[in-house]
Amino acid sequence: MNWIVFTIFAWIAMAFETGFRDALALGSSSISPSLAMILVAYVALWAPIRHALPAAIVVGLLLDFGDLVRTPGAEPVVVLGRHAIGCLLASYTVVTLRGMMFRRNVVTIVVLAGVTMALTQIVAIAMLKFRSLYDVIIVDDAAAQLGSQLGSAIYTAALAFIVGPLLNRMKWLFGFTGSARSSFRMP
Amino acid sequence: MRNSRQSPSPATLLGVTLLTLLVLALAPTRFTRWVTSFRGPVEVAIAPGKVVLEKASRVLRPPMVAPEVQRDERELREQFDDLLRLHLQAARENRELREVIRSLQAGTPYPASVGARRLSTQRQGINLSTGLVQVRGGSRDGVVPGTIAVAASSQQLIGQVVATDLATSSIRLITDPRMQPNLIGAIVTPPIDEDSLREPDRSAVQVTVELRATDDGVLVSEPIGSVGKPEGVLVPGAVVLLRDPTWPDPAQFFTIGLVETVEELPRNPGFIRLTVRPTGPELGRVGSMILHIPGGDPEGSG
Repeated sequence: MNWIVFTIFAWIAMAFETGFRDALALGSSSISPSLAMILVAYVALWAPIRHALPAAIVVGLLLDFGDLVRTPGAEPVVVLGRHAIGCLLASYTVVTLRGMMFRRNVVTIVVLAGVTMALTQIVAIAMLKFRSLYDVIIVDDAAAQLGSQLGSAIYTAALAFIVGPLLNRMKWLFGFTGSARSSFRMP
Repeated sequence: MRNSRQSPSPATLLGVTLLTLLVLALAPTRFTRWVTSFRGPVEVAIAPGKVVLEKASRVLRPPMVAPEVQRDERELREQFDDLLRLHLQAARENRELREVIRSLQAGTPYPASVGARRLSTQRQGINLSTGLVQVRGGSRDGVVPGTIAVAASSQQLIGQVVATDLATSSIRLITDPRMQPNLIGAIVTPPIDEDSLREPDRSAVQVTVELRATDDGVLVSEPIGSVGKPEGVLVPGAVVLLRDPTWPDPAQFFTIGLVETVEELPRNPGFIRLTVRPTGPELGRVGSMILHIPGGDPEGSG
């Protein structure tokens, strides 16, 4: 995988997360799509596992830095690791599943982007809630957050209908040399 | 023989990374607070793209404000401005009263003409040919020529009674060019804003001007030399108050209006001209007024 190209795409995805995500939010809710999650799913779908997992950690760490958590002193803190672990788990799931999927099919990236987002957020919110049991951080209604993030997962899947095919056309840019043929075989 | 300096396997690296992330994610804040300090460089790295997309986001989806919220905000702003104006008026009166007390202590006789009786009244109509506004309350109510009219809901000076009959009075508006004398002495004080509360002494800074009414419902000043004038006073939004010895004492310090424009005079370098517009609705349309009748009992009211 070409890490320079990945870095550029990760940078664009993070700029989108912090600067543009609100514009696509549904009404006044916090349900909005995540370009970063589509990137993680895409890399996990095509890159060798030795690249896919570190790439997921990098994107997860960037998400951690962009998501501040409140404390009673109104001092926001970064909880590093929760999105990174979530992305790692989601990426590993995609790597495991990709052998059974038609990778070129747009539906594949759509489904996997949704799964990636959902898994990442479940892990991230669960870890945050667990930490709040013994730490000073304040976690507002975790169930509501989870509901909102699962809604965002569906929205992310919908966005992947547009972004997925574009990314598939840029495989050569990323240097993905894996066969387009899936190891999945129809009987 | 296995090389002891062989680099660790990817699986080992991944395990160590995962363990580190777990520790960072679950360790209490007092041990991981230092991580937050790395957010700045990450933000800086992302900022160029973020700023561009934020601008696009605002263009594509401007922040939504409900109409009732907008109305509430406007009403609150108007109430705030009115209260601030009253506060500054009270502060100014307080200052003047202290001056009066000092004068009395120094043996200066108290000016008997300061007192004024107030009479609430309503606009009845306007005589388009003379430009005079007719209001209820006439000579039988004690209204005399020279009585001043002020808007009931603000400190806006409306004009001066020029004629009375038994039950009504006629008011010449301050924006009427036929007002005699046609030059009105005034002082300009800094604009009223939140800073006025924080710096009450700021409102004591003032510049004396002379205003002349025009046909456009505004007043323009005589040319003012801008050199040596205090900063932040002769600016749009500045408050203009009546300060004219030819007007009765009760009229002093009432609001003439706000500075609308400050225009440099090309033919007179270093000189400027102010345009002052009365606050609130057009003066000829103000419905409720208070008449301040000179020489009366200040406690009396209509």
